[in-house]
Amino acid sequence: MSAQTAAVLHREKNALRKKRIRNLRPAAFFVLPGLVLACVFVLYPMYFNIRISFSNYQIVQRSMSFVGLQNYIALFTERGDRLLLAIRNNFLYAFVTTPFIILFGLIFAVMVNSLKRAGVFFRTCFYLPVITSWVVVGNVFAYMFNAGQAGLMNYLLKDVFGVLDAYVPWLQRTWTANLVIWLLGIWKNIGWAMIIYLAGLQGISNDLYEASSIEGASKAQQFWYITVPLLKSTTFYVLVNMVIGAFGVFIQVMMLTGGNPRGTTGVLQYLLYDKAFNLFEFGQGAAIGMITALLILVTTVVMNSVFKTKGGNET
Amino acid sequence: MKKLFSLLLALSMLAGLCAAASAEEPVTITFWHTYGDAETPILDEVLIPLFENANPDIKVNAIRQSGDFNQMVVTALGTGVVPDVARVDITKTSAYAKLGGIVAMDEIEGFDALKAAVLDGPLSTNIWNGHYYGLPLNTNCKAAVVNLEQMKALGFDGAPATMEEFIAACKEKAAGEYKLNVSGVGDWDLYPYFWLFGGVLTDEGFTKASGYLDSESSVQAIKTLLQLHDDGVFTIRDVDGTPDAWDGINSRYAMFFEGPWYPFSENIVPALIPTYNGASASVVGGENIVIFSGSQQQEAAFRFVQFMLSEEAQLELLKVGVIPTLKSLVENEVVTKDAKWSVYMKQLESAQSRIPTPQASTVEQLWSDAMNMIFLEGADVQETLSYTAAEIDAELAK
Amino acid sequence: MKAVKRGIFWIVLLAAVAVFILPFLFMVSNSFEEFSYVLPTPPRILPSRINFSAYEHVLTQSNLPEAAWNSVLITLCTAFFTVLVSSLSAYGFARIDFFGRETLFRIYLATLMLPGFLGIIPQFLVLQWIGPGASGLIGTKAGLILLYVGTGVCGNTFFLRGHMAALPKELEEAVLIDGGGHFTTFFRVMLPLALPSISTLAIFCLQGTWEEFFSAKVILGGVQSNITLPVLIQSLKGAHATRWEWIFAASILAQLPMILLFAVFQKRFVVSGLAEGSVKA
Repeated sequence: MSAQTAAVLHREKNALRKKRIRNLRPAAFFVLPGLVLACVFVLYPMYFNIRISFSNYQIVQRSMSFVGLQNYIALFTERGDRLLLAIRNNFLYAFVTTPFIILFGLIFAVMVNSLKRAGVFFRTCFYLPVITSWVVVGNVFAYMFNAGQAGLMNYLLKDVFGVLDAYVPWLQRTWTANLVIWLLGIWKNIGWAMIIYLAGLQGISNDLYEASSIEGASKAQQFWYITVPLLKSTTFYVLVNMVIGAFGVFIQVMMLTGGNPRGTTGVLQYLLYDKAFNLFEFGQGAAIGMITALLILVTTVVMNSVFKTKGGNET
Repeated sequence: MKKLFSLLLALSMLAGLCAAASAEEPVTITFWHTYGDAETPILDEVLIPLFENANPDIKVNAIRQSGDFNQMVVTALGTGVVPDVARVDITKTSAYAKLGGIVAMDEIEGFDALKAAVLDGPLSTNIWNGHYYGLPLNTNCKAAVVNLEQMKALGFDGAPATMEEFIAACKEKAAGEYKLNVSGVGDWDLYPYFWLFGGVLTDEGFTKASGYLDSESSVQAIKTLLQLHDDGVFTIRDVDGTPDAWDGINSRYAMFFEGPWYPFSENIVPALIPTYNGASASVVGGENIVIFSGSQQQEAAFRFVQFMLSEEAQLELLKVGVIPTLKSLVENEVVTKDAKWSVYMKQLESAQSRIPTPQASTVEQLWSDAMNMIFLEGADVQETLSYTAAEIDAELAK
Repeated sequence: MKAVKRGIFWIVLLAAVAVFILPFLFMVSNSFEEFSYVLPTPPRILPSRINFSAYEHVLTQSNLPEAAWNSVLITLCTAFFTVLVSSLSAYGFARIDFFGRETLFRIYLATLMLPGFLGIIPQFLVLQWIGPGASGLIGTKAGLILLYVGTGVCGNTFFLRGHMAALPKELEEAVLIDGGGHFTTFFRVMLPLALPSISTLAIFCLQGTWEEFFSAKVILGGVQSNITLPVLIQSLKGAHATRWEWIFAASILAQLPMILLFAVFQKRFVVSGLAEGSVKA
């Protein structure tokens, strides 16, 4: 590279920089309203949160004294390991629910998409859980999985179909309670994945299917060799959303189990709520928020790198 | 002392201001409560108009809160946008006091008269750090809810007098049928049984659990419960997955313990909790009325407190099932002549309160963790109670 | 063979629908009953009677009509301002190459990872400061709307920016050459072109706002006349016992508008709007 081209490059870079600075003025009109709101309602609370997590925050006096990592240490060394259990449960939730959501979301999308009639009806049915509020479905699931004969599931599985020998206390045992929490998550989110897949399906040209069926491909072959590969980026989008969403699980745990027995069905967000609002440990609550953010960040980075190396240019 | 003085000064100035302002415009005080469907109309349509008529310089804005009331209070404390006065659970009072969110009511003139008028047990739940931070507004406890038909099948005419005979009858006539039920393993659920069978939580001053919660008699109390559970007499819904008490009492359970809000019927009636070793036991519940530190109208708020603790107001609420805390009403015929109220008032005599500490939520979590370990996971009773006692000690020392 | 396959197809589809609507069926059936605080054992899937007394109760004895009106108002305003603020901001990020754009956008993205939960106390403090009087905007519909728009702005900007960046540039370049500024471009070109994805955003926003509980409870819980439907439903839960038929009836009433909204607009907006961009961007 000659000195001259370097000078030209430098000048161009400078000009670009100047242009970008000049552009601040028109950009301000567009970006500023959102930025101000984000600063006030998102960034400032976030900053506040970080400070609280390193302090012994007293809510009434609003006093903060710096305590270093004490809140974090307290969380990790607490007897009963509620934090570790919560982290485990968040990851399990992500691992268990996401595959089912993706699988059924895709299958229902393909099925509904192939319908010539009544598409609206089926779409609405599958989407119904998505638009129903968590408060409502939490109440309904709590009653469906009630212990003894009063629970709809126990009644159906034992008395009507005879699958079970005895009534199951669903919400009172660690693993059956987690199962119900997962089921609720799957049931509530399949409709969302279906809608995203339906959108993705609109982008696949019909010619591909026609050409392949002339060549004698079966419906199943078309599904595996055309639909699935072409929807890869859609799948990635659903995957990322569901995994990140798995760290936000809260209301179903609060309404179904409250983390019982002994925190074995707890999740991070519930623990945060419990620490801050029931036990008044605001510092520890904020620390849980920070830990959650860190976990989400790491998970997203890992997912991105795994899927980039495996599937070429995604995102 | 200086602080106290300045507070008094501020209060008197405030009172002066209020008095000066009253001539022109009434002040509005906000009252948060969690009264139910039956009590709220009494409050809104009877009590508040009564109070406002007697105090034309004050208007009351009553707001009914729901299940997540504690979270609303905490948020309000965190931001300073607080109500003036509120009815809060007895177990939360000392925690709010420790946070600095509610005022030491014993520093307000007129407190002593009210203090002398209310029952001592419920009053004690307001103490924190040597001061009274509220007054008991209403009290309750658990009593036995008995299904008369079921009891007849067990050979009792009415409720059994002793636990011993009830247990013997269950074993003999209804082996394995779980005639006695409790919902969960939390303090409100299990303390009555724990106390009934001889358990002790702490010393009298609530400073230490070691030596009490892990004493021989406490271990024996839990073992008795475990034995009853194994014998098929006693069931814990959350452990066994058995039907809920409110449902099961209609058809399968003979008895469970509940507060006065249970909708009793001809066949399902309240009774004293049967004695064990000659003594009955129960747990005290209820609400206190507190004034918030952030309130600008503490003088007006206190007048409302005085009104809510008047015989007139307490009798109105008793009509819909709220047990009064006034000593003068214990012997009132409305209470003594009523089948239900007489039972609950009598039961209160043997009812104990949960450990009054700002760390109450943590203590309750420690207790239910221990009970889960014992009843669900089969942990050793002595060992579990010993280190739970040590953990509770640490909380009480905070 | 083909008939068999079709048969299987329909059986699977209908079975799936049955599983999906079972909880709703349960809710609807039980809303016709009258329980004295205890649901029946064994549970009922089909109602024993058709009776609307629970509906009558929540419509006449509770704040439901008022709460519904509050919900409508808050939801519509939130959606309107969200669309306005987010589309402006998305245009800025997608089409104007300004200094610090990438850094700022990365900050927006990073905020999406923090759970929004503990933010409630600082958010509450802010709302208290910016309004008049001691409580500021606390307890007001405006305060809640502002909070919703503000907390959603990062995610919504991200969503729309993807769509806007994917739109062809030729049209707006023509406008720029004709002497129009970004202002003209935004309103004349970008808004019409991005309409499907903006509608999608609006619908998602309507749905999310309609069901939001936590912030609504904290911000409006102290002012009974301003509460929204989810807060009302939760407040029907008693301290010691609950009339489930009331909760179910109120839940169904609260759900109807959203079901209708989706059924009517789903094809046009949700599917086509999503297909436009972000999924692939």
